[in-house]
Amino acid sequence: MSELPLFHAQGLTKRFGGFVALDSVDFEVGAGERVGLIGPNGSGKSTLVGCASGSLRNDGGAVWFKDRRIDRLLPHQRVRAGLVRSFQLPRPFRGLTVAENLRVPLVFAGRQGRAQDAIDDALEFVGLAARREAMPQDLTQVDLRKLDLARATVAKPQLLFVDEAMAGLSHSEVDEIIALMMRMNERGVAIVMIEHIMRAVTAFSQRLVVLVAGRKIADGDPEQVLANVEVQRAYLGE
Amino acid sequence: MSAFFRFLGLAIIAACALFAAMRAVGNDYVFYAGYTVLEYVVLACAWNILGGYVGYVNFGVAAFLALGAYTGVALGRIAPVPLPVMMLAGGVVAGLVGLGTGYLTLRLRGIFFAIATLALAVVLQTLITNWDFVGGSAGVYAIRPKHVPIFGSYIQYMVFLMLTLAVVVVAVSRAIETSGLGLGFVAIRDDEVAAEATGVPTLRLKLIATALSGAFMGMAGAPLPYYLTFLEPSSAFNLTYAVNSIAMPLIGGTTMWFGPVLGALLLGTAQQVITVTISSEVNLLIVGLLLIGFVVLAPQGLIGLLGLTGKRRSA
Repeated sequence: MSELPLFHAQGLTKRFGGFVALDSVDFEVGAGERVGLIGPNGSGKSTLVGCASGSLRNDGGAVWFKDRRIDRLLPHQRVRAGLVRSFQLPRPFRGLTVAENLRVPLVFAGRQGRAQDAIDDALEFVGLAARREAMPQDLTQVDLRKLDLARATVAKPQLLFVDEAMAGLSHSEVDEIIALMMRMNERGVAIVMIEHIMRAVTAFSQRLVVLVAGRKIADGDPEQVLANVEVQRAYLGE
Repeated sequence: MSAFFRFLGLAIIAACALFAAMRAVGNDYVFYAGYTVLEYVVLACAWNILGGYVGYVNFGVAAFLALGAYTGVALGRIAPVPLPVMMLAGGVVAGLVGLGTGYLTLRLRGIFFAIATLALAVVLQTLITNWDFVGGSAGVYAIRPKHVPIFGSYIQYMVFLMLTLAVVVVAVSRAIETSGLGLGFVAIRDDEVAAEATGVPTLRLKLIATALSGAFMGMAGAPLPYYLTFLEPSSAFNLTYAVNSIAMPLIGGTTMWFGPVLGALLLGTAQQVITVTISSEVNLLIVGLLLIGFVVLAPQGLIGLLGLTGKRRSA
């Protein structure tokens, strides 16, 4: 038997009333892998992130992370285990400075050792060192995205779900965020990128997974997946 | 840590100075008025632990206060226990009820949580009104001991206890602000979903806040029967307690301990003065007007106007 993947969801099912948002989806991520997760609006991408990170509870199937079944753990317990997510819209703690925002995961994800260094490193890493005392309301949109990523980094994840971190950014800002995520990946973090900007997805992903109406219709090498007739039909119509 | 003990030392010195000044006036009325002001310092700080730091508005202040008062009454009917023991017992009972209420209601957010706390007060008042052991709807007399060693009069003794409690609540509030716990509270207040996704155990932190907040209110309530000498449900569960305990932190500022202290000292003292010079009915009108004024014009309260918004020390 082959080695177990870092993250592994099997038969993942989520219903909202009568609506089936995820229909028995199998999804896995290897250690240090870069996966793109795409699909039209309403296809279940964010629901999948919710079930993986714990903000939503799956109705069927199971989720494993590092050989441990996690689908009954609370979100903060999954963060401590090393599974972290970011949100579609930046969600900074608006009453705290940039540096203090990063102190929250340090204190609560149980990795407080040398707090100052970890915060400095993360701010340096995302390029926000000069804004450490700024309040979130004074940051630009792209800096807010970087703050979200920095806060996720400080929690020392092994797997990071990045939910549309580039929506609304300019061409060069998208490049900046892609470069940042590549460098996070070089540090050993497996990243699942949920994105509509195809340029970003193809530049980033080693593997591409496509969801349509709650079902996985493709999973594999990006070029082959994008050449897939079914995928093209889902995106471009008949 | 040493900063904490320096702060505690200063708070104790301030409390001693205040007590000495009140004695120097040489009139027990100062103690009667001062007791109410100090009671509100405790209630406002206690409310602020949950309402100000975590952002959950509790309208059931009177319920926790009355729990402490009636715990004292019930204890006193069983055995003659000293007042400090009643306060501790009242704190334990109110803290446990806070914990239980929190567990049942903290999935509710915003206005729904506030309504649930209001309902708690109504339910508890109904229970107490129908419990004859503690006087029921007829009320109960609390007889003050005749001889009070050291202090000379019972009201001075009660002021001393309330002053001690105020020092404890302020010290605990400040300790929360400077600790990781306080950081987690701010994270929950700003964005609960993001806090959970950043590793903050939100439910546990909220339960700590409801238990602490409730416990301090209960401790403040235990001496109430002896202060009023006659306790009945409608006075113990008076909505005025909730209105004042919310107004004081909002007027003073909710982000640091100094806000509720300042709000309670100013508003509480003003109410005492107005009661004597104008009328006791004008009180709430003035509180209401001030509250509206501050919410509209100075949402960060007096400490915001003074530039003390308690911006946390950088990480």
